[in-house]
Amino acid sequence: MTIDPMERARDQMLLPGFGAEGQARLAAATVLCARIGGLGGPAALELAAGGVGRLRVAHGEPIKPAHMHRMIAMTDQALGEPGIDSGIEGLRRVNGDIELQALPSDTRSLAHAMELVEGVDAVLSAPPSMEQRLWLNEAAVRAGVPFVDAAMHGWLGQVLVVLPGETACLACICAAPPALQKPFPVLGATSAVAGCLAAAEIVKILARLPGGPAGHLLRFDLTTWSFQRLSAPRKADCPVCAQAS
Amino acid sequence: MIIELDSALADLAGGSTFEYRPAAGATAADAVQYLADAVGGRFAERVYTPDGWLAIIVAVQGEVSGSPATRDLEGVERILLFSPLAGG
Repeated sequence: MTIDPMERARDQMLLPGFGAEGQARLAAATVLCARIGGLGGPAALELAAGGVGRLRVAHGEPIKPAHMHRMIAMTDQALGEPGIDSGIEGLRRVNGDIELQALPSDTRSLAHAMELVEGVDAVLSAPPSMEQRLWLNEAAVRAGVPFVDAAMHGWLGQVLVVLPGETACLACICAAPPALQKPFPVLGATSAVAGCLAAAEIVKILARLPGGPAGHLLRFDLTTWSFQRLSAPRKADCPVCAQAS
Repeated sequence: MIIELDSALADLAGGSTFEYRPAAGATAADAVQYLADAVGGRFAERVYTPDGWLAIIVAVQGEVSGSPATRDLEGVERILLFSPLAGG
């Protein structure tokens, strides 16, 4: 059974300024989802359900038991198998009409990030290391593609929306990758909150809705229900975006 | 002025807010160093890296500072320190 895309999106199109035009923009768009784990998985599910036309999904890790408290795009039955396969099935379950491009690989380098970003309309950045995030950020800035980075640690989360040439990029805020602590504390719900915030921003960008937090960094702490919107100006000597205009 | 830490850094420092009286000409980086010297331990290890202030981000009066070493603190009442997050 298939659902008419406009019927699926009926309630979404009621959002002020959204309408059929916004929905058509989503349907025409391609989004790179760099990882679909605890954070990227919920984000990708929301984008798929919301009617984004094509997702290019890059995920290189097999499914591990210790990750399954947060991998809601994947299933226990696929333990040990490539996460990309189960994740793609999960995305198809929420929207059978979506076009999915499955890439069984994580971001390996800046050159690889530039290949991943080529031809997309927006980038969802949700890999597990700052190094990969900075590669994706630089690739998106060079390509002039909107970039939404979402990250978490324990009860903390953050989201940054980068509009190349207009707003601060990830490297303006953190120019070099701090050491990766593994394993790190993860609450699945924290990952999902960050992922869904990122998905909402991507929908706003694709549908060309006004407003939004571009130029700001959103930080939240679920231990205290604290949400902070911090101004994030461009860094004049940023090694990545200073020349972008 | 008040130095405020996110909950991850607060765990390392043993508190979420600290008072700091900056000397004339002090910068945001001086505030970070003051706190690292004051609480030491794992907090200081997190802050002092071979390449500088990599493991911490500073927001002064609600604005992220990309260059804490040159961000002066004159008239500033509050700064926030937090770790760059990278988990997915």
